Amino acid sequence: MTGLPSGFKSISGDNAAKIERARQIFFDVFGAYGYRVLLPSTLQLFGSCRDRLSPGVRSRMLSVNAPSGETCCLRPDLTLAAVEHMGSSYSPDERPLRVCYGDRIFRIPTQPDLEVENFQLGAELLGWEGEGADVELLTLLLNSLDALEVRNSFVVIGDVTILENLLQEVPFQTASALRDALRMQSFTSYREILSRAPISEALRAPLRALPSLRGGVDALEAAAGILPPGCPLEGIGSLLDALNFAGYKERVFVDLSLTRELDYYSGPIFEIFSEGQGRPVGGGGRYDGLLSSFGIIGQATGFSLNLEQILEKAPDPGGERMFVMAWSGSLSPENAMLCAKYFSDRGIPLEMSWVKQRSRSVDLARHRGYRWWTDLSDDHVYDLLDNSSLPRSEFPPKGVPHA
Amino acid sequence: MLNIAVPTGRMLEVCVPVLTQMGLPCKKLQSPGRALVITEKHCRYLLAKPMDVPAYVHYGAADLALAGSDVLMERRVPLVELADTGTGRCRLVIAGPDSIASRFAGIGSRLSGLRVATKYPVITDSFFNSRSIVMKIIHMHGSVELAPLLGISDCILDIVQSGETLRVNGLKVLQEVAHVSMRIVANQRFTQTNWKMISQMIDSLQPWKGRRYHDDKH
Repeated sequence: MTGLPSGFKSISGDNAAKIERARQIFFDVFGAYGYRVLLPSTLQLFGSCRDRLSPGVRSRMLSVNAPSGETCCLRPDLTLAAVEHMGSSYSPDERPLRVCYGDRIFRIPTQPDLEVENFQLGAELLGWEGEGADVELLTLLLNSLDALEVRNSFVVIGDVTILENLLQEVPFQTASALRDALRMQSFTSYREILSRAPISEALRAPLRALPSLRGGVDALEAAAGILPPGCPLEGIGSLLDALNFAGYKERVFVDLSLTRELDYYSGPIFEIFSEGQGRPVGGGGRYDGLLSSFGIIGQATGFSLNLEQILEKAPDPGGERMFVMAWSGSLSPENAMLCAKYFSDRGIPLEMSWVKQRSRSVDLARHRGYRWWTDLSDDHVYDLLDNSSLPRSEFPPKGVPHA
Repeated sequence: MLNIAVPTGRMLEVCVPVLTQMGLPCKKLQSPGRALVITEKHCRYLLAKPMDVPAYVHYGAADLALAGSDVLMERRVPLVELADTGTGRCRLVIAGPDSIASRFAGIGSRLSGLRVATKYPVITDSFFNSRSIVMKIIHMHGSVELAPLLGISDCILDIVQSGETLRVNGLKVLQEVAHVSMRIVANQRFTQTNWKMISQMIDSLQPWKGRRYHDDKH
């Protein structure tokens, strides 16, 4: 019995420490470039989310009633929450706005997952004008993946305007079906719909080739020869050039048939992959349309990462941070806390032990996996691995990490 | 190493010719014994229950897989569906005794309250829900044909190939739900980094599929 409804979870111990560490690393990377931490409300107005999310996400929202009687939902998407807050809380002359966040989202799970709540890290850059923001965000994203030690991570970039450009002359229902097939990633359905579509061969050929236009820079060169003139390849081309110039050539790919589950993207989009994960660990892109639905004129781009997916394969940060158990012994509590300050002042984490018997304190330290134990009333620290001791002034010994 | 999930049981026999045509080594796969992992040259085959195949791909344990379209419809796991192999063809149907055939011939409201036994609760729910028919699903894991015979359900939703099992058990097809065939699927990461290899494998299936289609017609 967890005392929690199915699909929900409380996180503690090492897992909680890993999440907090990752959040801090992420905030440090983005904070260094002027991104400010956002803590959005867990409850959002149901109607506001419903109108702006795709049917696939809409059907997975968890509705609840606020005490005021308003129909709400548990936050299904952090970008939406961020844009809503920024749109209502900041004046136009404060833009561009840069925010980053690390928080939970709530969606009814789809197979084979069972979890309703998931931790996401993300960043948004809102209300900017001109080039640079996509490059800034993607560069910082790749930097943060390195800082988080996500192994063999890479980014796949697409652009929704390319597909929309090709679908301009396609009958509405067929265009919708083709879009859905790509979103579902069913190339079987895509090819089948395309083969029956009442369109000219000149239009069918580039659409048929679209899912194959993926890979490195060469895919973009191939696309220029296959897609009709006027197809907007410049945006993704210059983005790719910039990231190649920044040294990310081996970690950036293109996929011109890339689509995202959320409807609000309106330009370059991307998905993030890491080692050992078949599905993307995150994604994002340009969403100017969403911004305008909140009455904000300008451009916006952002992304989110599934934090728990990333941490599944991340290397262990190494050991328990809190590694000295400090026994109060014969000292009064206030004196024991004063003596313990010796360790904390030196950045050495400790856990206080208030039990009466010395042996019980040592047993507890061993049980918790601590290597070091000290009696605060004497000036020695004991190594529980080999039962040796050393003067407090020589602790920690050389080569033992302590923070 | 290329990790490929394949379904065990009858479907494994269907998979071997497809994999051979794709240019993959599968001599050992023809007689796997009790092994669940079989390595041949650059390929590692993961033998999984048909319904579990999508999960192996989704979580990245397998790069590629062969899976029936019925399994993909039921599991609804986000995977890249690369191609229809045209093999393992059968149909998903609703079948039942003659006595309820008239209910299917009429308007939808006559089906209200129907009890449907099935191994495919997700497909069943979606099929009837999209027609605004309220029914009760009886989730079973095998020998679904027994349910109407014993009065547990009014009809079944299941796959049918020749129709012989239905006939022997006094059932007939009342409505077709979908055509089923073996599909090649991959995880999203693999398709982004190995598209050339995938294209070659899929292309190698085209003439074979064409020939099979021609043979089927005659």
